[in-house]
Amino acid sequence: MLGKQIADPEENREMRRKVAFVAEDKPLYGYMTVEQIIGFARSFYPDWRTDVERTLLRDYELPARRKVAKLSKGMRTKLALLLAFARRPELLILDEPSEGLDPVGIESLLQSLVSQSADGVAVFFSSHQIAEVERVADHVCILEHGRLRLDAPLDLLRERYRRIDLVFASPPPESEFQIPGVETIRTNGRQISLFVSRNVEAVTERARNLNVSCIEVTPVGLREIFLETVKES
Amino acid sequence: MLWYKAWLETRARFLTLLVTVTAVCGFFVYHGLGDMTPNWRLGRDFNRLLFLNQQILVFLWIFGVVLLGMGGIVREKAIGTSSLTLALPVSRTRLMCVRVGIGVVEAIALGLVPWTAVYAISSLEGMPILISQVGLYLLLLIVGGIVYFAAAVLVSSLVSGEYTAPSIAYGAILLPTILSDVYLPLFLNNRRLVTGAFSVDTITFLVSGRLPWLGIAASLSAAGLLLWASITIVQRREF
Repeated sequence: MLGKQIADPEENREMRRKVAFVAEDKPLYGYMTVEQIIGFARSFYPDWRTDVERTLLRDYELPARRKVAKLSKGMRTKLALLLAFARRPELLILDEPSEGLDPVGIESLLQSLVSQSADGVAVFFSSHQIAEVERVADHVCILEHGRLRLDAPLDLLRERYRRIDLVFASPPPESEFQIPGVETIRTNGRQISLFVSRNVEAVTERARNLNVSCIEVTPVGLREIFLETVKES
Repeated sequence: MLWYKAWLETRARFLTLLVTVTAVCGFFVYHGLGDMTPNWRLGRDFNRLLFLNQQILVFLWIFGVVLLGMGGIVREKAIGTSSLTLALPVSRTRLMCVRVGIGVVEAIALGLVPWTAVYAISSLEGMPILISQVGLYLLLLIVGGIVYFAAAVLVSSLVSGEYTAPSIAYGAILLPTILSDVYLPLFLNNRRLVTGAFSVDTITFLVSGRLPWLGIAASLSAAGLLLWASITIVQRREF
């Protein structure tokens, strides 16, 4: 990772200096105050960004003298994010980073992620909030039960995936649309709905040859891609 | 700053123990001095009082250092903060060494402060307390007793439960203490070493400067071995 051997203790330690990780349950030392835990974290990272620390401390309205154990879930999340952002990592790994945040906090988080990315930090985050992923991600992976179901740049997904709704006077058998790129086929009366990952032109051409009365091709969002990918499996 | 974390982690426990142990020892000696009548053979009885104070202090001190030895990365795993600690750019060995270092300093303070209080009370009451006697008792307590702290650290490297770990540690200390009273050669009896029973003159109740060096060496070696085992376990354990 980052050119370092994980198995080598020395390189592993160097690697940890460059990677910031915020776990889902936001583990923090409950017996420290906010300012104590910030001071503690700061001492390990020579590239610590005091300006980021001050800005986030103010923006997140974190009470410096309060014990971490007495912070709300949202506050803990904000503090964990501050500790990760201020240390100038090369790789930022976030597990469900928006959990516990209110809409304003989520908005601020997404902006911070974009800003970190613009600063050259690789941001790797997992989330069940697909709308958030769709707003900030460049590259998306969909995991289901620990198996990788999809791995592609978001722009490519947006460009390729389409929902094609076809209306026929007399619907043909579904097998007529078993073309490479057609992920799912659903028939509902005279209507056939296809979820397509590529070959849109070939599918519409086939529909025309089968005397379709109405064709509607619509772009799909990441949520629909996710649902179809998971359903399909 | 790892020392700061270790200090904050144990601060409440340490200060509570320090105040309690100092108060108990101070009260015991002050009360004992009050009971002394002019008919008593002052020097001998006073020295005996100090010897008895050492017995009480040893009991409380062992109770305390076991609690100070609790915690660490295994306990952190149980409460969910181990991922934060292990993500720090420091080795597990360093984490352990700092924790042990702070624990040893606290253990020394837990012996030093009560004995200082006893010295101050005795001096104020006009009793002939010798600083060398206090020093010898303290030396025996620390060098002979640090093995109990090491045992607690080892248990805390194996067991994560908040109550299970200290319970096992107390059991692990009590059992060998009982067994050593019955089965082990006298010079390996650590209880007698720490309480000063090896070194005290039974007539004057003064601790002699002739210390049981073999026992001290055995005790320190055992402590070193236990701490080395603790570090090795934490280095190899999957978290």
